[in-house]
Amino acid sequence: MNIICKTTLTALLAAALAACRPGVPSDAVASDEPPVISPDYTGIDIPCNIAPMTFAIEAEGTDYLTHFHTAADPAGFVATGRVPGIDAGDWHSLVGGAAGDTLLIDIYVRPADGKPYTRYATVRNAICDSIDRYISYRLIEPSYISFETMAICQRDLTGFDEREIYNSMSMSEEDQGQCINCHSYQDYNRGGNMQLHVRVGHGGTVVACDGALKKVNLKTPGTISSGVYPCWHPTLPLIAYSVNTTTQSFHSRDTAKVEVQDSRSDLILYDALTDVVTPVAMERDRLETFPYWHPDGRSLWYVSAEVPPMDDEAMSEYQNEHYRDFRYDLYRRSFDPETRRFGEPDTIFLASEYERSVTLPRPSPDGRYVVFTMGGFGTFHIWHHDSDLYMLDTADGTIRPLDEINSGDTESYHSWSSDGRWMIFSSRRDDGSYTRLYLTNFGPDGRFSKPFRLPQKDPGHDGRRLKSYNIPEFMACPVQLTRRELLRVIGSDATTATFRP
Amino acid sequence: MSALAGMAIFAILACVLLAGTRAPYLIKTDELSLFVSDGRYFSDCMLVPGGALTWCATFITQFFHYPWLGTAVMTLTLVGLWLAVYRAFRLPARAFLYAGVVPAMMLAAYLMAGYLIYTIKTPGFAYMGILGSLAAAGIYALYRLSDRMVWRLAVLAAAAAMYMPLGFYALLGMALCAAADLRRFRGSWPCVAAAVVLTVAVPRLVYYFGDTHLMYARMYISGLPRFGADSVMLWLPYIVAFAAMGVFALIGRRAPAAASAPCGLRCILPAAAVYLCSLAAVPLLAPADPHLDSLLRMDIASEQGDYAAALEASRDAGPAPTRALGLYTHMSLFHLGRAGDSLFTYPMADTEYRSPNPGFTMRAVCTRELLYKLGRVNDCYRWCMEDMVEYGPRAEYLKYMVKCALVNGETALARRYLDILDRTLFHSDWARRYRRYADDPSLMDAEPEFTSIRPLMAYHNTIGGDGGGRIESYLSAAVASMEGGPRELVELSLQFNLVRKDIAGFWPRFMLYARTHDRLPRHYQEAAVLFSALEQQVDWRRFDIDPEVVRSFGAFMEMARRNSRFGDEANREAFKPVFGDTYWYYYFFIKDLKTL
Repeated sequence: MNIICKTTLTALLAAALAACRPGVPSDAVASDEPPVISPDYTGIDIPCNIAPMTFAIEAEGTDYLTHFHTAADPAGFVATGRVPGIDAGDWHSLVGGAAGDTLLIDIYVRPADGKPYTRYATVRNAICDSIDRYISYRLIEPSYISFETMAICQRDLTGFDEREIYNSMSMSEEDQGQCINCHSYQDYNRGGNMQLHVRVGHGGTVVACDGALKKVNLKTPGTISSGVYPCWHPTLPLIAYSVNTTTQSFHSRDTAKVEVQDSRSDLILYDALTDVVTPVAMERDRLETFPYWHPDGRSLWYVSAEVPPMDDEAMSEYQNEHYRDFRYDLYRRSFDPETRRFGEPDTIFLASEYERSVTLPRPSPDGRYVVFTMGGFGTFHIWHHDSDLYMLDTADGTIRPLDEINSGDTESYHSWSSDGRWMIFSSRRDDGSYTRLYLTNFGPDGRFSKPFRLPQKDPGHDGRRLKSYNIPEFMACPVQLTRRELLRVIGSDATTATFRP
Repeated sequence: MSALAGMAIFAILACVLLAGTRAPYLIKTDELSLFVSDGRYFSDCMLVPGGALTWCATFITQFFHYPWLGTAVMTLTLVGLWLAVYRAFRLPARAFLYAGVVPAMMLAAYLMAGYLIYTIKTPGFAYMGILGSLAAAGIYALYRLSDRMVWRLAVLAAAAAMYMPLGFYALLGMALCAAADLRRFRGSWPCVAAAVVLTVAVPRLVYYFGDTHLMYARMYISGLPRFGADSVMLWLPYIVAFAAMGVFALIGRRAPAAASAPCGLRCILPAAAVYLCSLAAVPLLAPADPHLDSLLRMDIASEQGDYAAALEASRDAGPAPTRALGLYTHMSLFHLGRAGDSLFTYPMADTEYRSPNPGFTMRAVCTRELLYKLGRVNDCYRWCMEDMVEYGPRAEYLKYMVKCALVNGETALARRYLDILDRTLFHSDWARRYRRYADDPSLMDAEPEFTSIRPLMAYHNTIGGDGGGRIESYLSAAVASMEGGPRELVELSLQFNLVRKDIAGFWPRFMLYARTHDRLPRHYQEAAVLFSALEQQVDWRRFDIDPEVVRSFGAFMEMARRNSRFGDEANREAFKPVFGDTYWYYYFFIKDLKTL
């Protein structure tokens, strides 16, 4: 009797709740106009496991209804409000198993009290395969010299949970305040091998490798600096780094505002098990930087610019006068994992011949494509409004601008998902200054889908966040290191790496 | 009756010291704060222990936007603190005036910051101590509600749980509870032990295991001000206030007060003495600073484009202004078109700022308005960003970033900052006004603020350093080196060459100016006659020089010949009454101004 009562009550409650849920208005006036929503989540490809894609409806009205449905589930669910309140359970039920289907979004707006709803043209978003569940990035102001609070965070893409891996305020402040940067993972963090740099207070490079956690000082007598831009070898306990002497200047008038330049840079290889550093490329008349391993681990991509040899003081003046003449070309060196020796540089693309400059080469996981950032000059394209993403097809050697995802403003750092079906990239398209993250699907035809901004619970969140998203990286597994573990290792003395020429 | 009178006198003093004499300080306090009404701001605050206090303090700080409203709110809060301390510590009626020490010290703590309001890294600084002390008194009052051990342990546990929202003040509350129990230690040792253990352990637990921005060095003091300057004096009000609360906890009664027995002079006099001392301490610890007051008035007036009011404030600064006042005066005169005739009629000096960090004052205080109004828009934006990184978002930074973005044609960027200002209580009107320009940039063509700046931005882009944050020398060198451009830029460059006493830089700009203008302002004529005489490279007769200037220069030279046997110091005083308003006086007698 008791069970029957409970079941009946539950059923009645469920029915009552269902009855309370808003329905689609039957008397709506259909409009051919597409709805304007912010962020623009129309005509895009979405991963089937993505967080609810919350948006704001721009049209003015008194009542708002949004009907989310698919061909397989035409009833779907209805959310109310100018910012439709999407229930995460409803969303994942609808989208989660619907890869290959299309998410249909019907937006109804009542323009004024007493008037019928206007139904805008249906938004159609393709539901695609799932995406790596985690990404990580650094949150930092688009700053100049000062730094205070910055954090390396990881975000679960199936929801809105953003967790700090480490923040710079933890251990020291003022003159000893920390700058943290360049988080990097081996094999999408599947094995937990990662690294990040801590500068100034308790400085060093934190390396997690094969279950051990240590802090290493990568500045050796044979290198011009400690490690800067890192890339883990796909399988071996090796990290390729650039070492850079970097300067920063400010534009007096140009809205690019900041110019970050290297006066010297080389490439090194660090063995995370033995703490031995060996040179990869150390030409005095070249600036080599941004190393990235080919997925098979048998070659290293990087960029390099020609530079007239001169002393540091002369270089500083030269750079102020000729900063637009520094242009980086795309190179590749073979690597023998057995002997750990590199081959001679293989010139892939002489961008300088076209008065362009390449940075951040990133081969796709299958190795066929290499996406890189290209601007008019220089090495730090996040400050260059003309910077765009380009793609090299290694099968035929063609290079094309990724017009389908580029904008009129800066595109820069990018990362392929572990299956090569998605890419996340940073862009300043929203306002030219604050970097935001965009996701795009990579199709079998070698083209990317219309990019969409990283979903947030509040669609205005990124608009009001006064930090840039820096270095977005996909991860198959989350970082498991605890704050206490990181505090302990960062507070400890660093092991100094050994340089072997 | 005497208690009420004492409180009323304190309230009147607070009103006089706040809006009565330091209205610009209050306005600037609001400008250097930011309360955004959205969940993100609340969650950001809550990342640091003391976050709830920060949230509340920044909310109340907004009322300083209208100085008398802010003064009323602060005075009421201080009076509330007084009553809360009196009630929480169950002080006898005859000790009512003692409780006034705490609000008096909190008022002093706010006022004595002076220039440091620009660099304190504590959002809502003005109210943090007041609200925190209220919270600590509240914890103590709850603790004393019952003598049952379970209750007291529960209150301690609750206070420990309040570490994230209250920060240091939760620990202070627990310490006060422990102090109260010290008087009867034998029966209360579990509570004392619990208070000590929780006070020591909770911050460490939060630091190592919490999702927080707590800094190691601030584990036990999160919520107290980060002054960014080494000065024990700045801590004095806090030490006195907290010590007073500690004493109250030790001497306060165990039970709520019954009707007080009549009290004679013997007990009233000490209370009155302490009360009067604490009242006197406020203006003594935080004396008026005419230079700061003038600077803030100039800054506010200039920001509103009221350069005449700015000059009025400059006159009030006295005969020996700071360099910041000098630069503001120059900028105001330039925008009124009077610098060529009047710049050197204003006193020029480099009186040190009354601040524990004088070397940084120019950078912290003047950067934004000066750089923006003199056409160095990228530099202005840059320092806003640097300061926002360092001190957190503030209304003032966001407003200048909006202006810079608008002038640079970066309307989307301007909207980002406007969207935030839109969510504030009192800056949303400003945001609405400037949003019009983001929506329709052509409206800027009719707005004097922008039309007066644009000609000053007509220089070629270069890249370079930042002058190490030495704003005056950087600005002066940058503007003085400008060559050609619109008339306004040429004139500004000419003026900076005069200030720099750069004869080689003066002549080409002066000749260009003379070719394009019908009238030569007085100081330019004075400089032309002087430089012509000094170097004999260019003949001043080529220009339309007023005979009165020539005659006056003759008199100056004659006096110089007569006084040649006197030293510089004597001549400075001798020449001042006659020639103190001339460029010649500036050139010969105003030397070695410290530019930062």
